[in-house]
Amino acid sequence: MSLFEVCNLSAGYGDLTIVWDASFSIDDNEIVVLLGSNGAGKTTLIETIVGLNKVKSGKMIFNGVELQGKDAAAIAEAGITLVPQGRELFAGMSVLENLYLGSYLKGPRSKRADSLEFVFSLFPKLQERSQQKAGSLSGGEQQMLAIGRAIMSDPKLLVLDEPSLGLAPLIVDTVFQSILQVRQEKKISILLVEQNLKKALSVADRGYVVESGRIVLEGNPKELLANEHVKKAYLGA
Amino acid sequence: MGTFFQTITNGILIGGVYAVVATGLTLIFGVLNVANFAQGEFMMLGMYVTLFLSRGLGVDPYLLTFLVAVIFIAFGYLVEKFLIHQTLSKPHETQMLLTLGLAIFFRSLMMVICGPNYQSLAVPYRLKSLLIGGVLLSYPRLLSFLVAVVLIILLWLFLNYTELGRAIRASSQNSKAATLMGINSNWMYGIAFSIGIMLAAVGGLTLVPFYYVFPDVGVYFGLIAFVVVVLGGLGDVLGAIVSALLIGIIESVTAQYVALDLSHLGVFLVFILVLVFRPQGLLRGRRSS
Repeated sequence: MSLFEVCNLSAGYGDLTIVWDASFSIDDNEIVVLLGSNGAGKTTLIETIVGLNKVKSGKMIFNGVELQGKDAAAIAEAGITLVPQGRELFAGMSVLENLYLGSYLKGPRSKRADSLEFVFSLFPKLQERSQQKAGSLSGGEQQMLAIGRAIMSDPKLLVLDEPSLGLAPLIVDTVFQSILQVRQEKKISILLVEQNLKKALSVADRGYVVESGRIVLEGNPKELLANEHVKKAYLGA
Repeated sequence: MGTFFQTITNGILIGGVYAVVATGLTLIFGVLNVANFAQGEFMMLGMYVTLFLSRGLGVDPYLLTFLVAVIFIAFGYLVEKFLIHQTLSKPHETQMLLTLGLAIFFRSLMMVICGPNYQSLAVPYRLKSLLIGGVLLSYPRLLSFLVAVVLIILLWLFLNYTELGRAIRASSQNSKAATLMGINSNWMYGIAFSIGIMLAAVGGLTLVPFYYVFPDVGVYFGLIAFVVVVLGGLGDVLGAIVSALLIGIIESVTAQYVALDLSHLGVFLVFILVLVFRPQGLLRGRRSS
């Protein structure tokens, strides 16, 4: 069985349903990408996975445990950590304090020193700026801090919501490089949400395409890039 | 010149009490996003509890600080859990009406139990004072200030150097991100509210040896706490401390050099000017945050 299995999940806000009947899975040490244009429901879907939205119906099974109905703190404790869109740092606190907060829970706290060393090896910039306020960092550094903070939580599944949004191409490369490095050294699974289709498929093992709140396609990067619908709708060919 | 230093000193000494009560208010606002209009009334309850305990046990009020703190941490936790918490997902008016209602309830309750009379506690050092460099420091006021300073230092250490304190600050800055770190927000709400209430009550305790205790005593202090919090920038603990001392000084200077019964006028005049010219708070923007 997969590490994380989502079955027939529906979610939304209040009476409004945005995600319909979504099913997908993530295996151990796998990078899976959710693709789709603006407003397709990707962010709603993953905010539901991490407990920020209520599940309307369906199941989420992580490591054999059902997670639907649990709150965000409990899901974080179970080992799923989100790097949210817009980064959501603690802007008035130092870089180091942000990283410490990533390892607030007892489990990750016991590995704090090792995790910190790993984050600093991944992003040496963060070590240089460890005493600086998070809000004073550049956009790229803030994204690195958001990823670093999530790694401090020692997750089994790392979820990244549009990590390339608003970053310069060179920084985007660094960010995607670091994602591959995290997977390799921490042996964890990664769920990536992206609009940047080519970039995302270059690091992913598998991908799902989300349109109007439904998952419409699944495949490995080769299959998806060769798909006529994907070509037309996302690659402008 | 002697009068001037005396005036400033008096202001700073009372400013310590304002700082304690207002820090509690700003902490509650920062974490729960609730304006606690009953802050002054919790202070009043703290004064009554101190008065009764001190009379009943025959112990100096300042020696009761720890006991009163523990009582009000528990009380605050229950009030949060059973009342405030039920309104957190509701519109702001609901929380406002709840805390305003609590304020009226506590005032009326004490009126029923103790009557409207002014009560005071006779401590042996009530009229004693210390003379330092021509400035007269009244014992009870000095002790009140010292308790306030110790309390604020402890709070500062707690917020900055413990895991729990860091989590409270994180929830205050970005509650969504805090939840994503596995920080249980309900737990944070309970802790922040009980610490905020404890600060109000202990602020009240420090006043008992030199201030009258009556059901409406918290009204002015609650109002001052709001002024202090707005001047310092909402949710900003350091800003609250600085502006509390400033308010104490302004009050004392107005009373000394303008007219005794106009001391409140000075405070609110400054308040209005700050609202017009620096609505973000006195310290905001000066520090990078």
